Amino acid sequence: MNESNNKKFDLVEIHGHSGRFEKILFNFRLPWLLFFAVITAFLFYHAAQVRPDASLQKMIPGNHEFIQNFFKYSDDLAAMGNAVRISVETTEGDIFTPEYQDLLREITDEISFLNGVNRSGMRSIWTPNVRWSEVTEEGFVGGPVIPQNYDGTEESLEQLQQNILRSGTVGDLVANNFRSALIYVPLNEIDPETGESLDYHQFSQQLEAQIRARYETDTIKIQIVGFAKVIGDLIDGALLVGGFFFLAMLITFAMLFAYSRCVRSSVVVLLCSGIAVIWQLGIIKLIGSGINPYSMLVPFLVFAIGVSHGVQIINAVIANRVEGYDNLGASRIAFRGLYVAGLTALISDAVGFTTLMVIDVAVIKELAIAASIGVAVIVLTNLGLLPILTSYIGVSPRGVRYLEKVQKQDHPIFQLFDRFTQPKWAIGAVLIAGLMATWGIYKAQDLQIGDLDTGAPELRADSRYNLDNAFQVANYSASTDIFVVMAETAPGACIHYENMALMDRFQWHMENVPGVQAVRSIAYVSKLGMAGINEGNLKWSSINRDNFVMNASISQAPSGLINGDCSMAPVIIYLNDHKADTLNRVVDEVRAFSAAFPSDDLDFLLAAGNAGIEAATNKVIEDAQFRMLLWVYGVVIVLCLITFRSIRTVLCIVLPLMFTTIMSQALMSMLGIGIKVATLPVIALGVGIGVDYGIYIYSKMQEALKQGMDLTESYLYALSKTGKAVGFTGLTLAIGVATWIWSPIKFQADMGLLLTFMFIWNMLGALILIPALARLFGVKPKKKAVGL
Amino acid sequence: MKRIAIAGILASVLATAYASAPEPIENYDPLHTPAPQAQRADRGLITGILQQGEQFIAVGGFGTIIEFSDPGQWQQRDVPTSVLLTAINAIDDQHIWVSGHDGVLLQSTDGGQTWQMRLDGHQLLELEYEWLQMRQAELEEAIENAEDEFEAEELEFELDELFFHIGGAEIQFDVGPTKPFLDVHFFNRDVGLAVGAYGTILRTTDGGANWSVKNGAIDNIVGNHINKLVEGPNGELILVGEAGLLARSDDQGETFEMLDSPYHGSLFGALFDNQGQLWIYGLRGNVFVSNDGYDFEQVETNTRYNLNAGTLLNDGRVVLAGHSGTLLVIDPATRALLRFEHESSSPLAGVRQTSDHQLILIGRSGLLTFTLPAVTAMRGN
Repeated sequence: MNESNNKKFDLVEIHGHSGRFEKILFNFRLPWLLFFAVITAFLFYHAAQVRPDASLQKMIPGNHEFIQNFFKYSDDLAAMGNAVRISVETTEGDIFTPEYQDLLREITDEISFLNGVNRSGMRSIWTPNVRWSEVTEEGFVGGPVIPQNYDGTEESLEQLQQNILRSGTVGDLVANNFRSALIYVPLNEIDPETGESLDYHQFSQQLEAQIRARYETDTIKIQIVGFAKVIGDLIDGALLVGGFFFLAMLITFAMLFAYSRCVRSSVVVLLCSGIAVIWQLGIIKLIGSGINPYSMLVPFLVFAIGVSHGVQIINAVIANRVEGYDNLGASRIAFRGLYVAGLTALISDAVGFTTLMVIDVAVIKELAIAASIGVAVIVLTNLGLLPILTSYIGVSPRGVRYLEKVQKQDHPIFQLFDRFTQPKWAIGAVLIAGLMATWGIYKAQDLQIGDLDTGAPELRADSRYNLDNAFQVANYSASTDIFVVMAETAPGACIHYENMALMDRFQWHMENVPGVQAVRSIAYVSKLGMAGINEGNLKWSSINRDNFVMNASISQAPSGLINGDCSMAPVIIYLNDHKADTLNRVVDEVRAFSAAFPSDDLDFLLAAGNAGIEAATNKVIEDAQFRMLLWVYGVVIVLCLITFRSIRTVLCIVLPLMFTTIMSQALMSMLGIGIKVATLPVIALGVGIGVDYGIYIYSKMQEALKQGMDLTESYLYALSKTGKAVGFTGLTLAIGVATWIWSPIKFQADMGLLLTFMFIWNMLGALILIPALARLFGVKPKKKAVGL
Repeated sequence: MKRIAIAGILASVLATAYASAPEPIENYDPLHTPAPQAQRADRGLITGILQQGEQFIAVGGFGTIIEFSDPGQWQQRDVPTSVLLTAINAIDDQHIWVSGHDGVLLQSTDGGQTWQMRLDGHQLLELEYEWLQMRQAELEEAIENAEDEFEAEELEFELDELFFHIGGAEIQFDVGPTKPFLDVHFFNRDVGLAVGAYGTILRTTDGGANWSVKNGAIDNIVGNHINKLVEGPNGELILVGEAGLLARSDDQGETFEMLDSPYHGSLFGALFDNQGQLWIYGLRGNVFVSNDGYDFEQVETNTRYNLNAGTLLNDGRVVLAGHSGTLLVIDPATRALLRFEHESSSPLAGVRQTSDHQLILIGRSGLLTFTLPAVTAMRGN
């Protein structure tokens, strides 16, 4: 046994044109192992410190005009935007019971002690800054909403009810149905004492633990809404999805074992792919980049791609063992046979990822960088480390026996796919695909840009957050889709009559735009104030030319409607929804107004607020959409042309990919998933990775064609060589991302669903349509090649 | 032939395209900028409403004038100004006047189809300045001719007040027109009054061609706002305003008699019921009624909300509309009172009846409708 093995090894040395890479790798196996061990330990230390972060700034297109304007005034707008709204609902009776009021006071107090809360800005009926006022014969009178002598008796509760009615807080701090009250909690982005920035995740957890968990009972329900909560829930979701990784690993291990029947090699593949992920995360941490809910996809992809390449190597190693080589020889030959193909495939993946850079959103760029790093790492771990490991550990005899057995069988599934090389089947398949594509194109017409769901689109419609949000929208007069236009002027000029009058007119213009619910601005407050200082007489509700009168009219204005040096006044537009149509209409109308009323002093700058940011994001996505498709297909076509030097071949490979792209768009439109930051990259990933199948299959088929086999034989040959690997790769990739479908984060679920669909559809498309198209395009064996 | 037709269509398409692209407006000033045509003109602030049979005309913010018989199907008219309009008054079904901010008076002579601006704040300022200077001359002459020191002192005091107003008027020339008219009333095509902020009273006897300042016709030296003019069954005119201001004229506004006001808070409106009783109402749910126009009796309303406007129902009951969607229906004979609140809780500026149980309300939320509960189901107070 020993003797024969040595002989085989000699054969390797003699027959193999063993390349430079192979020598470098296999002549220094131990140093390499040590090298990998040290680097892995080092990078593991860094990878362990990676925490998912969800920064708003990274999720939005930072270079877009709207966002630039928003950043310019983000400090001024922060006071208005960054708050959580906590409603306390009683399911029995109304809020005018002593028990409820005690509870509300307690919760209000409790919240004011949380880190990050801007105490002085807090508002609830139990905070002293919430007052009622009314006009009397002597002028304004008023006081705190909670009666001075409140003691929980029926009388003081009745007094409280009256104060609430005349305080104008119904719909604001008290629900329209009087069954819940709201605590408005503004947050300090930067802690004024410690100078540290607010940890949203921690704050969100505090709310859960110290408020919700403590006070919620059968009859008391607590709803929490606000940006900080969204971020907190996103990070919670992201951590959960991190757990999915181990699920994906388990399933992959089961599949690997089913495929190879060899525990040893299954473990080695998992180990190397896991190391690739550790390296990728470690490097990301080292270069100062983070991991966000979007780029979290990358470890899953890196793992799956790693496994799919690892499988090829293991497959070859076992096959070589079947032929009688020893562990080292089998590994060397496997490396030699696969590193060029593997490298090419990985390069095409990496190029596919880099086309994502055309989307000018930081999280997607991070995703593109992370994915490129990940693919580069796979080259080292799964093309380098893996064969070294197998050269030591080898494969189990059981795996060798299993492959021996399987190789002798002619797989019935291969026979089935091979039929698509026959003209009737080919025409049928292409015809059906054509019909489906036509239907798909028709369906894809309804495809929308942006998010279509209400509430926080990042989270699922039935998530706790969105249920809370729906509750507050239903019971309080507030929309959560806020579009802010910044009226910019010279310092000190924001309340000049000319500017206020123009703002007033602008507000009315926007109030008449379909999809707009209400508009608020300093001009609106001034008009309310004008009526207010004239005993509530509505006939005075107009912007006044007199500066003194104007100042008096806004003396009671809430903060945030003009900035510190009076150079900017936000016009806050509340929308029915954040559908792309609505946002486009609003943007168009703002521009139309600016064109109709040009002013040297006042500019209406677009745009802030969640809807304004979404409008910018949509615009960037819309612009990037076709460019990205153009790039990714351009790159794929060029790669295929270089590899095959035949337009016919390129068509055979690219048409199935296009079919998948169309079908996935139809699927998106049917499921109501819009084209957005999360789903646009998916198309590029699907095409970039999907092209691998075509390349593998077609290259093997071409090999056979060159040997003079006819198309049917050639395809069967290709299937026997790569069919299993292609199938396995498709399934591994699909499983890696399919776990995401259960993510609590909506966009991750969308990404998971679409990628799963694309990976499987690409695989089937390649297996069915490549032979069919090859038949229709008249691909023939090259007789001449026989002689060579 | 065909070609000509196509050319014609093209030309008309081009013409419409040009017509629909308005000229940009630089240095926007609402006073002389035409009112914007608005899809939701009925949802903005509406301050005044005129009922002529089944037809209504309502006026409000941004120069809005809309006409309708069904509030769901209104038509907006072209108006040459974008200021907040405050009141509407008709002489007959053709001749209608509208008052507004920035000293605006609008007139229609075709039943509200088209509107012309008959006065603006710049003209008002000129008129008032001339009048103030004339008053100054009169007062100075009177002080010289004063019979005793006491009278002279009184006149000096008045002159001081006048100087204050003159100074104010001079500032106004720079600032621009700031005074709103709050109501307008015409007795016939020729004789009419427009009243408003800081005690402004203008009177015309030639259908608005010339106006004379009548601020001095009432005892209002501090310049309290005049909120409402109401013509009684015998042609008498009642004027109400800020701080209980209450006056009466029997010569179509040429001269006024100050009445003893039962209230020192602001009065926002007045109306005569079918028995000829005079109702006045205003701040904090205050309602007073008088048989003779001199002695008033307070009506208990159980509301603290301002009452801004009122009208008579077909059955003769008085309905008053106020803040927070408040509606009071009062039987003039028994003083029995029903209180309702419109679901919007929005401040109301007017009320009209369209059918037995149907009301149209106007106010901050635009045009609203309200169904009076059937008598048996009424929730009284």
